Amino acid sequence: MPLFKYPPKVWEALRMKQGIYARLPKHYLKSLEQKEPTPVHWRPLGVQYRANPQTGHKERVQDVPIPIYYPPVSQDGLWGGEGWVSGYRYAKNDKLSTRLKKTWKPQLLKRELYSEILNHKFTITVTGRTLDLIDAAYGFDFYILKTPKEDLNSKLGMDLKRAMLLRLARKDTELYPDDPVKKEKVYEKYKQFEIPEEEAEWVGLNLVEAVEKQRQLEHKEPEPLFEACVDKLVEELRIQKLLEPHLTEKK
Amino acid sequence: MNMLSSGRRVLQDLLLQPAVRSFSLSPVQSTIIVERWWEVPLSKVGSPPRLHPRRHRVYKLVEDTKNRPKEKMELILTQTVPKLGGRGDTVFVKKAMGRNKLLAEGLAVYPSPENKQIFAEELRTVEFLKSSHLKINRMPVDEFHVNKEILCRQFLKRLDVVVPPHALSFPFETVKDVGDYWCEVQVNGIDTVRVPVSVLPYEDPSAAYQRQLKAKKQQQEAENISEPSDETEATVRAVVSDATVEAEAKPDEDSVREVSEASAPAGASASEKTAASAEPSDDKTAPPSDSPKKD
Repeated sequence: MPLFKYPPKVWEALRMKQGIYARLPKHYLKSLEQKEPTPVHWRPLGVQYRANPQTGHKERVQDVPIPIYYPPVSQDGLWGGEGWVSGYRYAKNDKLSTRLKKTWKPQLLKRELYSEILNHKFTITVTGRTLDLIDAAYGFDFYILKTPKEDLNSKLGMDLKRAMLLRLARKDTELYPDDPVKKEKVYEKYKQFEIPEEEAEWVGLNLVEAVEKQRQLEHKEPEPLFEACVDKLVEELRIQKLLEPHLTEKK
Repeated sequence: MNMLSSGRRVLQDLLLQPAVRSFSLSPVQSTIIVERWWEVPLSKVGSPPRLHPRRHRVYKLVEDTKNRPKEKMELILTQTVPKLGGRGDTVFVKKAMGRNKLLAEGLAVYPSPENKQIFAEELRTVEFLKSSHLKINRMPVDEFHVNKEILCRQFLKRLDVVVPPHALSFPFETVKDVGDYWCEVQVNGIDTVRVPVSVLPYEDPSAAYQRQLKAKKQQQEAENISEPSDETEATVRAVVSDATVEAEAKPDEDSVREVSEASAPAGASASEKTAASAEPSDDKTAPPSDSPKKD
């Protein structure tokens, strides 16, 4: 039998449909689907068809993204979608001269960013682009809450998002418990991002963490066999007692 | 493999277009922008393009964002900042100054639509209060006096302005006489507006008395028009006191004289002008302190 029942390429997808993976919440599985990030290191055409500048006829065009490498340290900071662009370049920008290896890396800065919801100053490695994006979103909390997962491209970013959403969902106990005025102000500002607590708990978890969380939720202490046996015995004795004929003496 | 001459020119033309961004209106400010030297052949719809491992990895640097001229950022100030402006001003500053100084220390906020609305409302409040004049009718009660709480209530009743007691400062403590005074109201942040308050003699709200008053007023207006208007201060003062205060004006405090002249509607005397120029300069003094919102 030279062929498998399912081709190896679909094994990953099949694995997600059985066992504990199938019992994960649906909104979490939906968030795991890969989407394309906003282009950062290249300019997209944006259109499907355009007129060929030479001939003038309509032609179909496609956007081909540049492959970017995101080193593991990028997950501990907020790089704003930037990464290492590694490839080649032509010397003196001339196609007929030597081809040389080239890697472009972003410039990293360590900045202290204050979050209103979490009331804490975080020291994060950011890039200039991240700071511009924070300004465009009118605030650090807004930037974290508005950017989708693919654009944030950072475990730390998603963890911050999860913490903020949880704090907004549990606003009565956690959001500024000592200062009701500040609590109202901050809540009014960010209440458009509020989501139910069950969904907020799963935001930004990777697969391993999610599986562990689901396992914890489904975990039950094993019941001792003794109790089950005792219950069964009591039931049998009761039935036996009922089956015995009921003798009454006639006087 | 076709050469990239046509493709390259096309790409160069298209480089000027900003990329589509989901939430911000500014163009993409990437740090490094590259493009391919070799054109990728078009693939069928639905299948990914096939990339050559070396040829399609040769890139050319198009732009490095850090070499662009530095743009300035727009912020709205919340306090008076030297060399930039006062509260509510929209300023353009360098990004370094804005992020590290103004935003970090809370001296400014981002110009989001919500923030802009708050500051516009504040401005409207200040303008309204500047042009308003609180008139209280004296009740025919022996214990009549005007203090802070009564002023607050009068503000609410007559001008529909909610002024909490700690935002209002009444320098005269208790006032029992008819005349003109002033009080200071603190709006939201730091602005203190001086609102003139005048205590007028008792007016019976019943219809009969009102009709009497109306008749009297019309008589007096006719008299004023017939008399030639003099330019001396004494006659102006007399006319003014007749027009505003029905009964004889009791002697006011000397320090209040100027302000009462200013608040009087008629007259264009020099004292009024000096008082008017004194008022705006008073309003601009901004002692920082907390205060509530105006409804």
